[in-house]
Amino acid sequence: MSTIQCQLCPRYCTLTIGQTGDCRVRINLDNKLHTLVYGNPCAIHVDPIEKKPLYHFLPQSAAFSIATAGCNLHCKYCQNWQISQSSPQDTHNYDLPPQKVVDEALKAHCKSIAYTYSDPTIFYEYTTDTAKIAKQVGIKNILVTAAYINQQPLLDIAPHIDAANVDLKGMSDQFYNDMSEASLQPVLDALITMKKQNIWIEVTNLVVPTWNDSDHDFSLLAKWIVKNLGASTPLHFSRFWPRHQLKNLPPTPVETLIRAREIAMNAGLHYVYLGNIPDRQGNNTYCPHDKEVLIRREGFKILENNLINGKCKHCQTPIAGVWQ
Amino acid sequence: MKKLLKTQQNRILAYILLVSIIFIGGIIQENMLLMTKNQNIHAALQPKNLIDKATQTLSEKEKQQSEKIKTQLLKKGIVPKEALYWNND
Repeated sequence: MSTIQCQLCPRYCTLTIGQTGDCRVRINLDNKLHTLVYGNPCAIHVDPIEKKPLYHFLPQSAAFSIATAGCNLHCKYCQNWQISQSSPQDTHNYDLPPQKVVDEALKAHCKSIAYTYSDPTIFYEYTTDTAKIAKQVGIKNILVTAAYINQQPLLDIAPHIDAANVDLKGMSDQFYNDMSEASLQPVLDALITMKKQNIWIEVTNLVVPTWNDSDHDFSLLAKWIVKNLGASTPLHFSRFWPRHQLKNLPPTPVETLIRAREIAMNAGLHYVYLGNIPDRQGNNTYCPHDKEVLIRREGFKILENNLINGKCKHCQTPIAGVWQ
Repeated sequence: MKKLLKTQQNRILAYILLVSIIFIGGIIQENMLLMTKNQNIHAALQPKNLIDKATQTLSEKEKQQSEKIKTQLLKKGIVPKEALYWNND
Protein backbone atom coordinates (compact mmCIF):
# COMPACT_ATOMS: atom_id res chain seq x y z
CA MET A 1 0.00 0.00 0.00
CA SER A 2 1.35 3.44 -0.87
CA THR A 3 2.12 5.91 1.89
CA ILE A 4 2.62 9.58 2.34
CA GLN A 5 4.97 11.20 4.82
CA CYS A 6 4.25 14.30 6.87
CA GLN A 7 7.37 16.45 6.96
CA LEU A 8 6.17 19.21 9.27
CA CYS A 9 7.83 18.01 12.45
CA PRO A 10 10.77 15.75 13.35
CA ARG A 11 8.44 12.78 13.82
CA TYR A 12 8.12 12.28 10.04
CA CYS A 13 4.96 10.18 10.36
CA THR A 14 4.30 7.87 7.42
CA LEU A 15 0.59 7.45 6.78
CA THR A 16 -1.54 5.10 4.72
CA ILE A 17 -5.09 6.08 3.75
CA GLY A 18 -7.15 7.02 6.81
CA GLN A 19 -4.21 7.15 9.21
CA THR A 20 -3.62 10.23 11.33
CA GLY A 21 -0.18 11.31 12.47
CA ASP A 22 1.13 11.26 15.99
CA CYS A 23 -0.43 14.70 16.48
CA ARG A 24 -3.95 13.31 15.75
CA VAL A 25 -4.79 16.19 13.42
CA ARG A 26 -2.99 15.43 10.16
CA ILE A 27 -4.50 12.64 8.09
CA ASN A 28 -4.00 10.85 4.78
CA LEU A 29 -7.13 11.19 2.64
CA ASP A 30 -7.04 10.46 -1.10
CA ASN A 31 -3.28 9.94 -0.67
CA LYS A 32 -2.89 13.61 0.19
CA LEU A 33 -2.04 15.03 3.58
CA HIS A 34 -4.93 16.94 5.15
CA THR A 35 -5.35 18.95 8.32
CA LEU A 36 -8.47 18.44 10.43
CA VAL A 37 -8.23 21.66 12.43
CA TYR A 38 -8.09 24.46 9.87
CA GLY A 39 -10.47 27.17 11.08
CA ASN A 40 -11.70 24.99 13.93
CA PRO A 41 -10.19 26.10 17.25
CA CYS A 42 -11.39 24.42 20.41
CA ALA A 43 -10.17 27.20 22.72
CA ILE A 44 -10.58 30.96 22.30
CA HIS A 45 -9.71 33.49 24.99
CA VAL A 46 -8.53 37.06 25.43
CA ASP A 47 -5.51 36.85 27.74
CA PRO A 48 -3.07 39.34 29.20
CA ILE A 49 0.16 38.91 27.27
CA GLU A 50 1.93 38.30 30.58
CA LYS A 51 0.08 34.99 30.76
CA LYS A 52 1.92 33.55 27.71
CA PRO A 53 4.35 34.46 29.44
CA LEU A 54 5.87 37.36 27.51
CA TYR A 55 7.25 40.05 29.83
CA HIS A 56 9.26 42.05 27.27
CA PHE A 57 6.68 42.25 24.49
CA LEU A 58 3.92 44.87 24.48
CA PRO A 59 3.40 44.77 28.27
CA GLN A 60 -0.12 44.96 29.64
CA SER A 61 -1.67 44.39 26.22
CA ALA A 62 -4.31 41.82 25.38
CA ALA A 63 -3.54 38.78 23.22
CA PHE A 64 -6.33 37.06 21.32
CA SER A 65 -5.49 33.43 22.04
CA ILE A 66 -6.53 30.39 20.05
CA ALA A 67 -5.76 26.68 20.07
CA THR A 68 -6.93 23.54 18.34
CA ALA A 69 -7.02 19.95 19.53
CA GLY A 70 -3.91 17.78 19.22
CA CYS A 71 -0.19 18.09 19.82
CA ASN A 72 2.97 16.53 18.43
CA LEU A 73 4.40 16.05 21.92
CA HIS A 74 2.98 13.90 24.70
CA CYS A 75 4.33 15.46 27.88
CA LYS A 76 3.58 13.62 31.06
CA TYR A 77 3.08 16.94 32.88
CA CYS A 78 0.96 18.65 30.22
CA GLN A 79 -1.17 21.38 31.80
CA ASN A 80 -3.62 21.40 28.86
CA TRP A 81 -3.79 17.68 28.20
CA GLN A 82 -7.58 17.74 27.85
CA ILE A 83 -7.17 19.41 24.46
CA SER A 84 -3.58 18.60 23.51
CA GLN A 85 -4.04 14.85 23.88
CA SER A 86 -7.43 14.79 22.13
CA SER A 87 -8.51 14.38 18.54
CA PRO A 88 -10.52 17.19 16.93
CA GLN A 89 -13.43 14.74 16.70
CA ASP A 90 -13.52 14.64 20.52
CA THR A 91 -13.40 18.37 21.30
CA HIS A 92 -16.04 21.05 20.96
CA ASN A 93 -14.80 23.18 18.06
CA TYR A 94 -15.72 26.63 16.84
CA ASP A 95 -16.05 27.73 13.25
CA LEU A 96 -13.50 30.54 13.07
CA PRO A 97 -11.70 30.96 9.76
CA PRO A 98 -8.54 33.13 9.68
CA GLN A 99 -10.31 36.36 8.65
CA LYS A 100 -12.79 35.93 11.49
CA VAL A 101 -9.98 35.43 14.02
CA VAL A 102 -8.48 38.75 12.98
CA ASP A 103 -11.89 40.48 13.04
CA GLU A 104 -12.54 39.18 16.55
CA ALA A 105 -9.06 40.22 17.71
CA LEU A 106 -9.68 43.75 16.42
CA LYS A 107 -13.09 43.83 18.08
CA ALA A 108 -11.50 42.83 21.41
CA HIS A 109 -8.80 45.54 21.03
CA CYS A 110 -6.02 42.97 21.05
CA LYS A 111 -2.60 44.04 19.89
CA SER A 112 -1.60 40.48 19.14
CA ILE A 113 -2.87 37.01 18.32
CA ALA A 114 -1.32 34.16 20.30
CA TYR A 115 -1.30 30.65 18.85
CA THR A 116 -1.09 28.76 22.10
CA TYR A 117 -2.41 26.27 24.70
CA SER A 118 -1.74 23.12 22.62
CA ASP A 119 0.99 23.80 20.02
CA PRO A 120 0.75 25.94 16.87
CA THR A 121 3.08 23.56 15.04
CA ILE A 122 0.20 21.16 14.53
CA PHE A 123 -2.20 23.85 13.31
CA TYR A 124 0.49 25.27 11.09
CA GLU A 125 -1.64 26.13 8.03
CA TYR A 126 -4.30 27.84 10.16
CA THR A 127 -1.62 29.81 12.01
CA THR A 128 0.15 30.87 8.81
CA ASP A 129 -2.98 32.11 7.03
CA THR A 130 -4.25 33.93 10.13
CA ALA A 131 -0.85 35.51 10.78
CA LYS A 132 -0.64 36.83 7.22
CA ILE A 133 -4.01 38.60 7.52
CA ALA A 134 -3.23 39.87 11.04
CA LYS A 135 0.05 41.37 9.90
CA GLN A 136 -1.75 43.39 7.21
CA VAL A 137 -3.87 45.15 9.85
CA GLY A 138 -1.01 45.72 12.29
CA ILE A 139 -1.73 42.91 14.71
CA LYS A 140 1.36 41.06 15.98
CA ASN A 141 1.62 37.26 15.95
CA ILE A 142 2.90 35.16 18.83
CA LEU A 143 3.77 31.48 18.97
CA VAL A 144 3.63 29.74 22.32
CA THR A 145 5.32 26.53 21.37
CA ALA A 146 7.60 23.64 22.21
CA ALA A 147 9.31 24.37 18.86
CA TYR A 148 9.31 20.73 17.80
CA ILE A 149 9.20 21.64 14.14
CA ASN A 150 11.33 21.09 11.06
CA GLN A 151 13.52 23.85 9.72
CA GLN A 152 11.77 24.53 6.39
CA PRO A 153 8.26 25.08 7.80
CA LEU A 154 9.76 27.26 10.52
CA LEU A 155 11.67 29.37 8.01
CA ASP A 156 8.51 29.77 5.92
CA ILE A 157 6.32 30.96 8.80
CA ALA A 158 9.01 33.11 10.46
CA PRO A 159 8.43 36.31 8.42
CA HIS A 160 4.87 36.47 9.77
CA ILE A 161 5.78 35.89 13.43
CA ASP A 162 6.80 38.67 15.82
CA ALA A 163 7.39 36.86 19.09
CA ALA A 164 7.59 33.40 20.58
CA ASN A 165 7.60 31.90 24.00
CA VAL A 166 9.42 28.62 23.60
CA ASP A 167 9.12 25.86 26.14
CA LEU A 168 12.64 24.49 26.50
CA LYS A 169 11.76 21.56 28.68
CA GLY A 170 15.20 20.29 29.63
CA MET A 171 18.73 20.04 28.37
CA SER A 172 19.05 16.33 27.69
CA ASP A 173 17.75 14.00 25.04
CA GLN A 174 16.92 11.54 27.80
CA PHE A 175 14.59 14.08 29.45
CA TYR A 176 12.82 14.85 26.17
CA ASN A 177 12.50 11.17 25.40
CA ASP A 178 11.18 10.18 28.84
CA MET A 179 8.95 13.20 29.46
CA SER A 180 7.65 14.04 25.99
CA GLU A 181 8.54 11.18 23.63
CA ALA A 182 10.63 13.63 21.65
CA SER A 183 14.24 14.74 21.22
CA LEU A 184 16.17 17.84 22.20
CA GLN A 185 18.22 18.84 19.15
CA PRO A 186 15.35 19.94 16.85
CA VAL A 187 14.15 22.29 19.61
CA LEU A 188 17.60 23.86 20.02
CA ASP A 189 17.89 24.22 16.23
CA ALA A 190 14.47 25.87 16.06
CA LEU A 191 15.40 28.37 18.79
CA ILE A 192 18.56 29.37 16.94
CA THR A 193 16.61 29.74 13.69
CA MET A 194 13.98 31.92 15.39
CA LYS A 195 16.72 34.13 16.76
CA LYS A 196 18.32 34.48 13.32
CA GLN A 197 14.91 35.33 11.85
CA ASN A 198 14.53 38.22 14.32
CA ILE A 199 11.62 36.75 16.24
CA TRP A 200 11.52 38.08 19.80
CA ILE A 201 12.11 35.04 22.01
CA GLU A 202 11.37 34.34 25.66
CA VAL A 203 12.12 30.90 27.04
CA THR A 204 10.07 28.97 29.60
CA ASN A 205 11.35 26.05 31.63
CA LEU A 206 8.89 24.11 33.77
CA VAL A 207 10.83 22.88 36.79
CA VAL A 208 9.70 19.39 37.74
CA PRO A 209 10.88 17.93 41.06
CA THR A 210 13.36 15.07 40.57
CA TRP A 211 13.22 15.40 36.77
CA ASN A 212 15.03 18.63 35.85
CA ASP A 213 15.64 20.49 39.12
CA SER A 214 19.37 20.03 39.74
CA ASP A 215 21.88 22.89 39.82
CA HIS A 216 23.53 21.30 36.80
CA ASP A 217 20.23 21.39 34.86
CA PHE A 218 19.68 25.09 35.60
CA SER A 219 23.29 26.00 34.84
CA LEU A 220 23.34 24.09 31.53
CA LEU A 221 20.08 25.69 30.41
CA ALA A 222 21.16 29.23 31.30
CA LYS A 223 24.59 28.87 29.72
CA TRP A 224 23.11 27.54 26.49
CA ILE A 225 20.72 30.51 26.30
CA VAL A 226 23.50 33.03 27.00
CA LYS A 227 25.71 31.47 24.34
CA ASN A 228 23.12 30.92 21.61
CA LEU A 229 20.32 33.43 22.16
CA GLY A 230 22.03 36.15 24.16
CA ALA A 231 22.15 37.31 27.77
CA SER A 232 19.13 39.58 27.24
CA THR A 233 16.78 36.69 26.45
CA PRO A 234 14.19 36.49 29.22
CA LEU A 235 13.96 33.10 30.93
CA HIS A 236 10.87 32.07 32.89
CA PHE A 237 11.21 29.27 35.42
CA SER A 238 7.72 27.97 35.97
CA ARG A 239 6.41 26.08 38.95
CA PHE A 240 5.14 22.56 38.30
CA TRP A 241 1.71 21.54 39.59
CA PRO A 242 0.76 17.84 39.67
CA ARG A 243 -1.16 17.21 36.46
CA HIS A 244 -1.97 14.52 33.89
CA GLN A 245 0.45 11.60 34.36
CA LEU A 246 2.61 13.17 37.05
CA LYS A 247 0.11 13.53 39.84
CA ASN A 248 2.42 11.58 42.12
CA LEU A 249 4.93 14.42 42.37
CA PRO A 250 4.64 17.43 44.70
CA PRO A 251 4.57 21.01 43.36
CA THR A 252 8.02 22.52 42.82
CA PRO A 253 9.31 23.92 46.12
CA VAL A 254 9.58 27.72 46.01
CA GLU A 255 13.20 27.49 47.27
CA THR A 256 14.11 25.41 44.20
CA LEU A 257 12.80 28.11 41.88
CA ILE A 258 14.63 30.85 43.78
CA ARG A 259 17.82 28.78 43.51
CA ALA A 260 17.21 28.30 39.78
CA ARG A 261 16.91 32.06 39.32
CA GLU A 262 20.15 32.71 41.20
CA ILE A 263 22.04 30.13 39.13
CA ALA A 264 20.68 31.48 35.84
CA MET A 265 21.56 35.06 36.77
CA ASN A 266 25.04 33.99 37.86
CA ALA A 267 25.42 32.34 34.44
CA GLY A 268 24.93 35.76 32.89
CA LEU A 269 21.23 36.05 32.05
CA HIS A 270 19.83 39.54 32.71
CA TYR A 271 16.14 38.77 33.03
CA VAL A 272 15.06 35.66 34.91
CA TYR A 273 11.48 35.32 36.12
CA LEU A 274 9.58 32.90 38.33
CA GLY A 275 6.10 31.86 37.26
CA ASN A 276 3.17 30.31 39.11
CA ILE A 277 4.42 31.54 42.50
CA PRO A 278 3.64 34.69 44.45
CA ASP A 279 7.24 35.90 44.49
CA ARG A 280 7.46 39.62 43.81
CA GLN A 281 11.19 39.68 43.10
CA GLY A 282 10.96 36.89 40.56
CA ASN A 283 8.08 38.63 38.84
CA ASN A 284 9.63 42.09 38.41
CA THR A 285 11.92 43.38 35.68
CA TYR A 286 15.13 44.97 36.98
CA CYS A 287 17.57 47.15 35.10
CA PRO A 288 20.69 45.05 34.49
CA HIS A 289 22.82 48.19 34.97
CA ASP A 290 21.59 50.02 38.09
CA LYS A 291 19.39 47.15 39.44
CA GLU A 292 16.39 49.49 39.88
CA VAL A 293 12.89 48.07 39.43
CA LEU A 294 11.72 48.76 35.89
CA ILE A 295 8.41 46.90 35.81
CA ARG A 296 6.73 45.90 39.06
CA ARG A 297 4.17 43.12 38.59
CA GLU A 298 1.58 41.40 40.69
CA GLY A 299 0.34 38.29 38.93
CA PHE A 300 -0.36 39.44 35.38
CA LYS A 301 -0.97 43.05 36.47
CA ILE A 302 1.60 45.80 36.11
CA LEU A 303 1.75 48.04 39.17
CA GLU A 304 4.63 50.27 38.08
CA ASN A 305 6.42 50.85 34.78
CA ASN A 306 9.67 52.82 34.79
CA LEU A 307 10.54 52.28 31.16
CA ILE A 308 10.63 55.30 28.89
CA ASN A 309 10.97 54.51 25.19
CA GLY A 310 12.41 51.11 26.05
CA LYS A 311 15.06 52.59 28.36
CA CYS A 312 15.54 52.62 32.13
CA LYS A 313 14.26 55.98 33.31
CA HIS A 314 17.04 56.19 35.94
CA CYS A 315 20.18 55.38 33.91
CA GLN A 316 18.91 55.34 30.29
CA THR A 317 20.13 51.77 29.73
CA PRO A 318 18.22 50.26 26.77
CA ILE A 319 16.19 47.24 27.85
CA ALA A 320 15.82 44.41 25.35
CA GLY A 321 12.27 43.82 24.16
CA VAL A 322 9.45 45.08 21.98
CA TRP A 323 7.83 47.77 24.06
CA GLN A 324 5.56 49.58 21.60
CA MET B 1 37.24 -38.81 47.72
CA LYS B 2 39.54 -37.72 44.90
CA LYS B 3 36.92 -38.89 42.46
CA LEU B 4 34.21 -36.97 44.35
CA LEU B 5 36.29 -33.79 44.36
CA LYS B 6 36.76 -34.15 40.68
CA THR B 7 33.01 -34.55 40.25
CA GLN B 8 32.43 -31.47 42.44
CA GLN B 9 34.93 -29.51 40.38
CA ASN B 10 33.11 -30.65 37.28
CA ARG B 11 29.81 -29.55 38.80
CA ILE B 12 31.19 -26.14 39.68
CA LEU B 13 32.67 -25.79 36.22
CA ALA B 14 29.38 -26.82 34.66
CA TYR B 15 27.54 -24.30 36.85
CA ILE B 16 29.92 -21.47 35.90
CA LEU B 17 29.55 -22.42 32.25
CA LEU B 18 25.77 -22.39 32.49
CA VAL B 19 25.69 -18.98 34.23
CA SER B 20 28.10 -17.60 31.62
CA ILE B 21 25.93 -18.85 28.76
CA ILE B 22 22.81 -17.28 30.31
CA PHE B 23 24.67 -14.00 30.94
CA ILE B 24 26.19 -13.78 27.46
CA GLY B 25 22.89 -14.88 25.92
CA GLY B 26 21.13 -12.05 27.75
CA ILE B 27 23.60 -9.50 26.47
CA ILE B 28 23.27 -10.76 22.90
CA GLN B 29 19.49 -10.69 23.12
CA GLU B 30 19.46 -7.15 24.54
CA ASN B 31 21.75 -5.93 21.77
CA MET B 32 19.62 -7.60 19.15
CA LEU B 33 16.51 -5.89 20.57
CA LEU B 34 18.32 -2.56 20.57
CA MET B 35 19.44 -3.10 16.98
CA THR B 36 15.88 -3.91 15.93
CA LYS B 37 14.62 -0.80 17.75
CA ASN B 38 17.21 1.36 16.03
CA GLN B 39 16.36 -0.19 12.69
CA ASN B 40 12.69 0.59 13.30
CA ILE B 41 13.48 4.19 14.17
CA HIS B 42 15.66 4.46 11.10
CA ALA B 43 12.96 2.87 8.97
CA ALA B 44 10.41 5.34 10.28
CA LEU B 45 12.62 8.18 9.09
CA GLN B 46 13.12 6.62 5.68
CA PRO B 47 9.90 6.96 3.72
CA LYS B 48 8.90 3.73 2.01
CA ASN B 49 6.68 3.46 -1.06
CA LEU B 50 6.01 7.16 -1.07
CA ILE B 51 3.50 8.08 -3.72
CA ASP B 52 4.54 10.24 -6.59
CA LYS B 53 2.38 13.35 -6.37
CA ALA B 54 2.42 13.89 -10.09
CA THR B 55 1.50 10.42 -11.30
CA GLN B 56 -0.43 8.90 -8.42
CA THR B 57 -3.75 7.23 -9.06
CA LEU B 58 -6.21 6.21 -6.39
CA SER B 59 -7.55 2.69 -6.33
CA GLU B 60 -11.29 2.22 -5.98
CA LYS B 61 -10.77 0.86 -2.47
CA GLU B 62 -8.68 3.87 -1.45
CA LYS B 63 -11.30 6.25 -2.86
CA GLN B 64 -14.06 4.52 -0.93
CA GLN B 65 -12.02 4.53 2.29
CA SER B 66 -11.31 8.23 1.99
CA GLU B 67 -14.93 9.11 1.20
CA LYS B 68 -16.16 7.11 4.17
CA ILE B 69 -13.81 8.96 6.54
CA LYS B 70 -14.72 12.33 5.05
CA THR B 71 -18.41 11.61 5.62
CA GLN B 72 -17.74 10.61 9.23
CA LEU B 73 -15.72 13.78 9.80
CA LEU B 74 -18.36 15.96 8.21
CA LYS B 75 -20.93 14.60 10.67
CA LYS B 76 -18.71 16.05 13.40
CA GLY B 77 -18.46 19.38 11.57
CA ILE B 78 -14.88 18.82 10.39
CA VAL B 79 -13.93 19.67 6.83
CA PRO B 80 -10.41 18.39 6.03
CA LYS B 81 -8.17 20.83 4.20
CA GLU B 82 -5.10 19.90 2.21
CA ALA B 83 -2.00 20.42 4.32
CA LEU B 84 1.55 21.56 3.60
CA TYR B 85 4.86 19.72 3.97
CA TRP B 86 4.48 16.17 2.84
CA ASN B 87 6.36 13.99 0.35
CA ASN B 88 9.14 16.44 -0.28
CA ASP B 89 7.11 19.63 -0.61
